[in-house]
Amino acid sequence: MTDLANNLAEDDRLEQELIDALDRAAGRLTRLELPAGTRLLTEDEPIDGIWLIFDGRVELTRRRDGHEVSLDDDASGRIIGMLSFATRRAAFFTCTAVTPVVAAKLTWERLDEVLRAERSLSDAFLIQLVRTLGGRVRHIVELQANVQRLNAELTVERDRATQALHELAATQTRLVESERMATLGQLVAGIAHELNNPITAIRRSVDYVTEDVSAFIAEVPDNDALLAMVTSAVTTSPLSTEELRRRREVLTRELGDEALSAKVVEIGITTPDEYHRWFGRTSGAKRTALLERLTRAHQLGTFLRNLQGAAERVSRIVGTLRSYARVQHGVVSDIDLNRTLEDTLLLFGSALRAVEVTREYGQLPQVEGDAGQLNQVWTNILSNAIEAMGGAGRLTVQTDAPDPAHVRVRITDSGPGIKPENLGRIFELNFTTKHGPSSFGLGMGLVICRQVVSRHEGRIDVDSVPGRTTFAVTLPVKLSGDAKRTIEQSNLLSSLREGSTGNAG
Amino acid sequence: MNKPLIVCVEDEREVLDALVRDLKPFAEAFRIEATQTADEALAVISRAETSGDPVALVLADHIMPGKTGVDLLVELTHKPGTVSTRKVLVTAQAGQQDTIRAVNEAHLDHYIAKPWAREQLQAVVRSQLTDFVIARSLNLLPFVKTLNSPRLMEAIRARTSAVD
Repeated sequence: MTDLANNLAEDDRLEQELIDALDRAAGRLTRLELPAGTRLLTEDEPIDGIWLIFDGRVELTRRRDGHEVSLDDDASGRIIGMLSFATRRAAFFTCTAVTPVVAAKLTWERLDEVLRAERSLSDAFLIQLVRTLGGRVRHIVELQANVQRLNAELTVERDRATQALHELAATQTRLVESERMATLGQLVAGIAHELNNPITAIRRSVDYVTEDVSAFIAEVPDNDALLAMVTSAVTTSPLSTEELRRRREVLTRELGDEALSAKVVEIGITTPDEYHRWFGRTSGAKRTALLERLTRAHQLGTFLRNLQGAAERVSRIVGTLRSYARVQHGVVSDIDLNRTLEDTLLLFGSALRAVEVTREYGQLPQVEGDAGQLNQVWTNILSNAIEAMGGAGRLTVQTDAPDPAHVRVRITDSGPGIKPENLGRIFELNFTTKHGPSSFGLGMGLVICRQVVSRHEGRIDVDSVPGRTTFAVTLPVKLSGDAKRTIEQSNLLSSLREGSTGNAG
Repeated sequence: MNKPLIVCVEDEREVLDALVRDLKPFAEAFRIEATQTADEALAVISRAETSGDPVALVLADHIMPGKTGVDLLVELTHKPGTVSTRKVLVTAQAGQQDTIRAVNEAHLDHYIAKPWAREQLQAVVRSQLTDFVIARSLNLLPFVKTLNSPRLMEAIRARTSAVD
């Protein structure tokens, strides 16, 4: 700005000289004394000459967005309207007296006369014109530079703000997810609790019904046979349908009656000897009546048995759910890994129905760790395995101790495998090749697995070819003090947070 | 020719027992065969074809060890002997993709979600068996009592008047 100040100072002196020269050449112009606030020029109105300011200060303004904006500082020249001299157009700005002003007006005609009369004056005027223009241009260039700098700063700020917004959105998603998982955990615990009562009712009821039915049967003719049939059906698991069919064929050959053989085999009487024991030589209507009663007895026993079995299954699932949901995050204890793996497998229950599961549990020392978090790791890996196999295939779960200080869990599935180019990325947040519904306990992905395993000072490795994919988790038997502290302070929320920033990788 | 077959395919014995029990009303006019795998069902069906017994209806679960229910139904659709067999899925675990395949490639006739209500199951079975016996132009009289459906009566009337 100092350069501009110097130039201006120089301009001031030359301008003063020009004013004096013009004044002299015009024969000493009439001085006008104008009070402060007088409009010497009005923007957009025709200008008919230049003003010479002898004393006082004026302000140049332009209208913008409804109010007057100062164009230049008020030290701007003492000749007003110079640039309009070239174009003789309307005033570019409004000129207002800031203080009382002593000024004189030189019309275009008079100015033309004066300049034509004295050549040297004309030159000086031209030079002053150029200087004024130059000043304007300098000003504009500086403003331009300012604008560009401000634009650049604005862009940086805007990018920062956008980034912050994205991070905020991501954090919100994670919070919601974490809350959802926490809620799911509570829900599962609640459901398990709720189911206990109906299950108890079912199991007790089945026992009592069995008792009372037996008592009723005791009062019926042929009751020995009926009681025996009910008992047999309740206590014995049935032969496979395939085997029953085979025996039916054999019996048909013996008895010569296919329909009869079919009915008889259905109620567990599957050999000629057994047939004779139950039916002796009975025939015709008597035999039909006996067969009917025995069938009903058998059905009674079968469905009592099915009731018991189903109730027991539900009971076991609930039990596992409860222990699964009960396990707190952030508690380090000694863990029997084989047990926790078996628990997790049990939880998958029907999802493993079409999967051939092979268990190879080694002799393992107890491992220090957070059972809840490790359960999540097994659940995740198993769930991925089952999904990879499309619900049917071969699954192998192996545990061993590769050295005295470590244990290793290997889960192998027979699915199509992970492409080599994806192997490095499967532990990334949001990396997925599947689009399916996520079930309870899942959906947190391999990222969490890696976080949990590394928090336990272990490692997780993948080896995959089509038809055989193995996830191997190696854990130390004992944890360092630091690791224990970290685990105790960790919870679901920190898992997700760490997962997103890739820390503690 | 013996009674037409109804084949049930379900790997969980307790569920299979319930299914067979619910089919009891149809046991007089149809032979009900219980199987626990798709391969077992195919063996039963193959033997039935040898004896000239028509396979009227297959009720299959989907997720089973070995071949799935949908795979079985698709296979049956491609065999000339069972292309007109009525096919019903009784399952809780068929995903969207599998169900679409069942509908499009196996020409699934009905889908029953587990757990089923007995009345609903029997109504569906009755309707499917009626369709089968009519379409196969079997002698309809033996089925009147078991199927007891207005459509069957209508079909009998239509045939009788056609003869006249």
